Amino acid sequence: MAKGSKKKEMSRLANLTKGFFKENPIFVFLLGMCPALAVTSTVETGLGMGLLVIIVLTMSNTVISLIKNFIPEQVKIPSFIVIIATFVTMIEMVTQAFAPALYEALGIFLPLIVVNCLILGRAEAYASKNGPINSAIDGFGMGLGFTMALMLIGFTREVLATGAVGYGVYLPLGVEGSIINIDSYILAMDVFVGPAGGFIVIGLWLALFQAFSNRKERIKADTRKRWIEEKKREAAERKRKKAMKEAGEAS
Amino acid sequence: MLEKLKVAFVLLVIGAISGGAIYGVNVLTEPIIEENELAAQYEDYVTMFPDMSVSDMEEETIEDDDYITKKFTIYDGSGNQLGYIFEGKDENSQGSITVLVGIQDGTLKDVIISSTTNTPNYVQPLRDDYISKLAGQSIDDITYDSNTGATITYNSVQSIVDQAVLYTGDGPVVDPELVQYQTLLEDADDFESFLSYSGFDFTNENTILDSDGNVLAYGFALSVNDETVRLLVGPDSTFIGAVPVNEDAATDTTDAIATLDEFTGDMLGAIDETAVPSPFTDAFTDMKDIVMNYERVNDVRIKEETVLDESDAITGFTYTGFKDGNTANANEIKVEVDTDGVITSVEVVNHNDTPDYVSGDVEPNLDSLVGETLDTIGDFDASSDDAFAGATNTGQSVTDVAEAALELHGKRAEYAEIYPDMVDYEQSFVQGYDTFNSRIAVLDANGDELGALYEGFQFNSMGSVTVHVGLADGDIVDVTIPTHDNTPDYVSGLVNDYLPNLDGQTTSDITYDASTGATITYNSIQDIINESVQAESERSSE
Repeated sequence: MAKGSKKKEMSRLANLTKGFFKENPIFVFLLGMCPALAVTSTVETGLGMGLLVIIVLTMSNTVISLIKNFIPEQVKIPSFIVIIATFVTMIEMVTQAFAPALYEALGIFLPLIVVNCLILGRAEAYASKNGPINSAIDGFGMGLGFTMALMLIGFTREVLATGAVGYGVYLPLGVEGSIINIDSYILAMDVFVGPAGGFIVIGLWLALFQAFSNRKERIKADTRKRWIEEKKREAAERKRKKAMKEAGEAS
Repeated sequence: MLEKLKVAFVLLVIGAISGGAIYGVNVLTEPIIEENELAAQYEDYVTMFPDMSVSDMEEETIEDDDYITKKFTIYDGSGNQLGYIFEGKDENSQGSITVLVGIQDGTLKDVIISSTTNTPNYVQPLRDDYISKLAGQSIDDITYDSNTGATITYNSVQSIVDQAVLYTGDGPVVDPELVQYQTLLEDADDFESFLSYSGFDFTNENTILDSDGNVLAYGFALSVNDETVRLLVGPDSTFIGAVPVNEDAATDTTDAIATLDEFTGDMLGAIDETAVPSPFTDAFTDMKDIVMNYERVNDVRIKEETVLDESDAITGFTYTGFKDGNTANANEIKVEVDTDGVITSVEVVNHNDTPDYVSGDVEPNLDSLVGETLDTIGDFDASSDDAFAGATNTGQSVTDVAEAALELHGKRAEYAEIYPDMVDYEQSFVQGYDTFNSRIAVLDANGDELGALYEGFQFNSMGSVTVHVGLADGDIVDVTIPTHDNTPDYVSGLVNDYLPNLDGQTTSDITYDASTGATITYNSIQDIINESVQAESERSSE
């Protein structure tokens, strides 16, 4: 019983963290690329969009998982979209009320969360087939991975464009400032504020992730190869010992 | 059937729950959103005018303006007007920006970027270091920083502030003088001071321009019943009318102006100045003299007179020109040029500058201009020790008149190239043509007309082009392009390969080349030639 419980706990941890690197929505699955390009000119807008996606994804996954058995197959997708749209509309109102600067900055991309393929994708691929707790964890983990990716892109673009990383401008943190402020003429590349800069930065990070993934696969393959050779060597040793033993008995 | 009803029911339930949830959140957030919007709006206003009464504020929506969308008149709690706040919006390459401009008693109270999607890390330093410096400046003389590090956003702010200043009255401030010109010339878009005169019955001359910078008229100011009135004359010497500078001119003045209506549309040369009713008679006479006899060359009004010997042969030319020196009133300068285009003497006839400077620094050095030609005078430095150092402004006015004299003389050389037998020429105004307003009659030694020359000018999509068209006995004798700012390679191609084809053609049957490779410039040339031919034809038929 204890062993089974531990196994289940590990599975939930893996479920939570799989979106960080292994199944990262942006860098691995290339999902939700539209906001990844449009709202990542700064870290803070990326973070804001990420937080909203976490909330919508977690809640929609949970609700869809809860009612999945009641939804007829032929209206499954429309139902999912209505549920997602409901959460997006609610979160849009809440953002406008409590984080108006973020609402202004995200603009049209906030209501467009409805058509973010990451959210509908997780609803269809995971929430409609799993229980509510796991679905909530999946949504939260995937949302975190999405947020991390947006922040990473936003950080790169903001630093390259302005030499600084500001905070408190869009999110209601109560204080404004910047955590990095590098006074360099090189770090004033306006191109990274615009869409072209977004494409360049995403491309660079995708390449980096791919390189990291390839290296990991190589190490894994090498380790397995060594393990097989070790097993072969051990088998040969056992054979040799057995043969020597049989020879000794025979003599 | 039951299955379909089940599907419908499920969708109905999902839709109902969704609608209810959205409604609930809307009920909770709507007042907060409204409060946020009002707080954001009035926070900036109260920051500008801490004593303002928000409830007494008057809002006016501005339509059809590139930047300004709203004008707020600000009052305190006692109903005293404190100033204005203008809301302006702009779209730049980084997004949108909304700026509030507070103005009080002719001073910028404050400038606030109320919202923007421009890059925050540019906007914040701009707010802290540059926009804050605008507060307290007079709206008549606002100094902007040229290097802010956030040029795109700052340019938007500058445009909005400049536009807001125009609305400090009842609307964009249009110079009342321009408004008066527009009553006679609806295309008038701007005017420039040209010269101020002394010794005439009018005081100054302005140039009235359309939106493209074309000269629509010259305006001569005179005093009538202690009010300033401007007489307007077209570049072709057509009398346009008179207009009071004061919008609320006295009835006596407007009645006097009405007496000039009968001359509207007539050319000055055809108007008998003695028939012009007082109080305009003297000023009209002077204006006619200036317009008919003095050409505008650069910033100078200048008249050419020939100097004849006993046998009536031309021995030289006297040029009398007006140009302002050290004061607003123009000096009168006389320049004598020989037949070879060399200055032989210069004299200050009348001046309005400091007498000591004129007599001490200018008049003793007038000979420094003697010997100058059109080719050399460009290098003449009026402020050098060898010239008029110490009285540079007066000296410059003398130099400008001398240069204008040589340019005017230079025309003779141009005309003589076309008509080698030319001895003299006469210029007269013509009405009703778009590309020119005068006709130059080229005369031989007997005073007979050798031909006519039209100096045409046209704006085209590549710039402007000036074309001289020489006509004689029903033929085109020469077409030249003295100045232009069209593409040089195209123009030189026309000059070398196509303009010579026009020489010698009969004006009643001109064949233009269909494909010159410089269509825009060539079309302008065609327009000018066609109008010249038409003018000459109409003149002959008269």
